[in-house]
Amino acid sequence: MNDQAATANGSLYARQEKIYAREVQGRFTRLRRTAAWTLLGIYYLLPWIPWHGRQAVLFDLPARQFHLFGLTLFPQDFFFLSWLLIMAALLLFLSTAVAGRVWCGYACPQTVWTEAFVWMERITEGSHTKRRRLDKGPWTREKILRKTAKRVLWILFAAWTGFTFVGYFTPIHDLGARLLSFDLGPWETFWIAFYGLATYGNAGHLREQVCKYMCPYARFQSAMFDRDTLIVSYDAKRGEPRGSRKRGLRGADVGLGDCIDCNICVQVCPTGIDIRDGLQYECITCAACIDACDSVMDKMGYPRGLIRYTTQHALEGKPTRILRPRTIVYAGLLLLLFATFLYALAQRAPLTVDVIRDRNALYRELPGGDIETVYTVKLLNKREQPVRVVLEVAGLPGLRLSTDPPQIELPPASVMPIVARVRLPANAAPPGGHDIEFRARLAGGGEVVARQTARFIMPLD
Amino acid sequence: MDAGEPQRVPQEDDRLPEQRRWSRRAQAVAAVVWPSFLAAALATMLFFAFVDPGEMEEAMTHPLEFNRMTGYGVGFFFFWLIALVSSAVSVYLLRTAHRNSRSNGDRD
Repeated sequence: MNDQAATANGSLYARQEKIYAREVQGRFTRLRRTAAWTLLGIYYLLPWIPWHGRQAVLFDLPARQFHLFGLTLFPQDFFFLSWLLIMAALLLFLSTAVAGRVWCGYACPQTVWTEAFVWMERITEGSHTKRRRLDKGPWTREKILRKTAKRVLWILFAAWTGFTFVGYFTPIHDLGARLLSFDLGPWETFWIAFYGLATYGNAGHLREQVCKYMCPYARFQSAMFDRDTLIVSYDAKRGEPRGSRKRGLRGADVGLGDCIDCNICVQVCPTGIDIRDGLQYECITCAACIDACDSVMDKMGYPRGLIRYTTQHALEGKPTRILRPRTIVYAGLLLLLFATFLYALAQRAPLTVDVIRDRNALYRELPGGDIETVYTVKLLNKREQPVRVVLEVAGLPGLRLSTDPPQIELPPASVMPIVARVRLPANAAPPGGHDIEFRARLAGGGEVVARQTARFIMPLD
Repeated sequence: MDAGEPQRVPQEDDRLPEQRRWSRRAQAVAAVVWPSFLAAALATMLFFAFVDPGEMEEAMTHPLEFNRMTGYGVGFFFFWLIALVSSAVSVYLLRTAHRNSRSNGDRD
């Protein structure tokens, strides 16, 4: 481990309060817990919120439509979803440039679920010293009971997590009803188990190892860092030379800095690093070491903040700037993307027409001498209101179109395939292919709301 | 850590299981499985935004019996498999290159 720390211990050692990870209390721990429980609450409750008779947030994969409160997106609107994802990534970059790894420490699903799983472990197995004793000890009745209780809690919680996850992709009320009657589809069962298992493994067993060994963002986030970025840092100028001393002694009295080398900051670190060695990529800025160190400083009667949220510039005694080229560029880009997103959303066509020609025949020659082609017209109503339209066709003189029914009623946010027969007298156009245009007009002589071009083939003979 | 006894610096063995360092093999497995999972999730999203598995079935000469959910599921694992192979080959190349250059006496 740390040779320096090992040699500094010994005769100078003074009685130390027992402080274990379990007892880390403080501002940042409270903040982290609040954030975790809030986010978990949102995750588990959101699918149950109704919105005008359907689920408010539903990425309905079976029906291929995404509902986000009042907004319904179709695969044709893929642009919007990818735009949203790009904005989310930029927001992450901006927050990282300004406040360091706040995402990692407080909002990342990995952190949040780990927090929940650690909490369940603590209520069943006790503090981390108790756990260590339990792990090394023989299989007593108590050990079996505690271990079983933990596993059962974990499995139940993971299963509920998997169920909720699938509930974002298929209506959750229906899913719940079918779960209770053991009537789940094979893929639903599979994904609940898969996501549940992933949660169990990631949050129960791997925990911060995911951040250390698996997370790509953890490795490249330093690209967004500069000397004005908020980091968790040990104030070496104030702390060094570190060493233990009797309580009540000021560091200066014994020729030492403020760090009493109690190692509590190392013991509470979920990634197992020593923050006093400087900024390390393993640090997810959970601030557990800040709370631990602050409580020690309080006991020693020293000012808090030997380990604190600060910036490189602040540590060097220079001012910290929030507005700087990097943050201005990130924020500007984000604003631009957001404005474009809103504009595009407002301009989104409320209705689209998709035309597919019958695959089996190019055309049909009818007994009366007409040429007929059958199309499947897919009408997509993106609005939250029903709409009545009639189809028209143009592009060649004499074209006639018939649909059944002639006037089409489209329910809110729906796709409706309509069979459209288009006829033309055999001599009305030269042989070969012709472009014709399908139009959807609001019923009652309203405006044309969507157009789509298709091919109409005339026989060659 | 009682009074009078010198304070011990935490050792690797002291750490709780989740704080211990991973072996190189475990790190390699994680570096293959997880990024390929993310890549597969992205590929699935992109692919099925443009392709409806329901229509894929219609277009087949000999349609297989499957619904959309099967299409998505099979698609995801197909993409994961492809990405897994790619990541595994990358890791294999990096690890063996290091070993060979050592044995040949080359400098990295």
